[in-house]
Amino acid sequence: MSMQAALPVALIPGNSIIHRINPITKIVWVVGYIVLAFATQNIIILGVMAVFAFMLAPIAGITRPLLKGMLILVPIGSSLIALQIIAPAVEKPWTPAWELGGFVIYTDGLYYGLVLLGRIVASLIIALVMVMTTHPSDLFTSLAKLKMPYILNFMSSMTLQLIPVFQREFGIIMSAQKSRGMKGSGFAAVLPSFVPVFVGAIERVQQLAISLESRGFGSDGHKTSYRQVRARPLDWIIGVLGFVVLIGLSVISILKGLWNISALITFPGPFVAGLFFVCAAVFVGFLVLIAVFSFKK
Amino acid sequence: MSEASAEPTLKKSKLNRNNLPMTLIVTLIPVSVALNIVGGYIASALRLPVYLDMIGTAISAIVLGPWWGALVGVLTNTGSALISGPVSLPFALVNVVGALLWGYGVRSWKLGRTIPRFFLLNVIVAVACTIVAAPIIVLVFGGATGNAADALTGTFLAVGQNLVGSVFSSNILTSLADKIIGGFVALAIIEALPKSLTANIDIVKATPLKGILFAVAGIVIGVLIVVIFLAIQAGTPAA
Repeated sequence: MSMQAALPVALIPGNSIIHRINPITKIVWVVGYIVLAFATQNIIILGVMAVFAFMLAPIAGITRPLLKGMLILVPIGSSLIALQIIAPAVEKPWTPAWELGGFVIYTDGLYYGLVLLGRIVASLIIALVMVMTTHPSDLFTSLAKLKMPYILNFMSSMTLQLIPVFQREFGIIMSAQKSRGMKGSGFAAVLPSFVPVFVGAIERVQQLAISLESRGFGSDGHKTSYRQVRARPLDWIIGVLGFVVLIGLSVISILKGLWNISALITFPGPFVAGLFFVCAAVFVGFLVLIAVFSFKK
Repeated sequence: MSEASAEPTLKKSKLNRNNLPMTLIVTLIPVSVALNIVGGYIASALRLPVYLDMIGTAISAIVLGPWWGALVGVLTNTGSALISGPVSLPFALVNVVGALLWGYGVRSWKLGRTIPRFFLLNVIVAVACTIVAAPIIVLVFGGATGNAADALTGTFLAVGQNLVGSVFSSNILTSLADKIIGGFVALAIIEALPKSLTANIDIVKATPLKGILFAVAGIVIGVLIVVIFLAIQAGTPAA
């Protein structure tokens, strides 16, 4: 069991220009990306956003881990496109692309499906680039500069540190239980694995609370950080540029009624039908793969 | 700012309404958040068909209070956004609703006093979570969640149900199983916690999971029959 594996997405150490950008600048870009992605239905803008974000990966030297992190899109993306083709989110009448018995698929849903997918892909890539190129401590130090409450910052950074600890703990407890003849899967294993991991973790908290208390956690005054984060002129330029471009485009898009260009694009019926079957096959294949993997000893 | 205010002043952390020191709560919250995230990993490692990623939320909402649970919910989804991308971010709302219902349900409405009441509370949480989750799944993800429930959504759509109805139907089935089992696992964990944490809570003793699993299976099959019937009804006029 590979429960001791590291987090699925974590910092990839490096010294690229992307790594050196100030975390606040990166936050501006990620928030701007998410705002623009949800303020537009223009697939050209969404496509350009996704491609631009992806182009940052080779500069930062994180192409492989990024592609790995994007695997999450395979099931959700294929299912999203297939569902939108069966049930378009636009007003009727719909144009049938393919029909068998009572089952009809339509060309109308593909545009909106691509918009939804474009939003998810663009926001996911830029967020992964940020997470993979920013040291968590730098991120939290920067958030503190943005007046994020110290306690919230402490809770978030502590969470990230605790996850691998608990994963390891679970591995140890499972080995101990198995050595006593417990089953390693199924509902019979739920209580013998969950209860020791959770109770052990919560009991340990009491010691942690005492050590925080003894170090004056609740004291007033300016809190300092071991890691220092500085904003250079270049960070300001990139941040302001990102803000102006992304928020400007969002405003233009909203003024243009979300800039939907579906009237200009017509997808041929056979293409939509083919895409539906590919997406459905990918999704079902993914489910089968997971099922086979979980039943394999 | 005067010079005197810049001088750090040490003070003992205040006790809150639960008679717990603030530092204990400040450390319990990240532990619950981490346990939510690790709970999901454990469920997949044990090859369970449910997520069990809200147990930390349930425990903190019941032991500390509904709004602390809500904070755990928000931090869980922002935390997972930092770990696996922002896809899970909108579902913070679902986690918050679950926390408020578990917290107020046990602490104010006394729904934790007997096993049937606690079972009912988990059913309420499951239904409320689906009511909040279904619009998010439809508006942000076009009905897709990326797991096996989507096959069910697709089947309902093919039968003639609309997208919101299909997502709601498939989500309620997974949500019922997930929240009821998760709620009872949380109950077992709460029972095993130090008494200093749980002294003020009026909650029933945990019960073996086997009986609960039979009840969950019964409810899920019952709801499945109802949603299939509704989907066929919805499809009939269009055909």
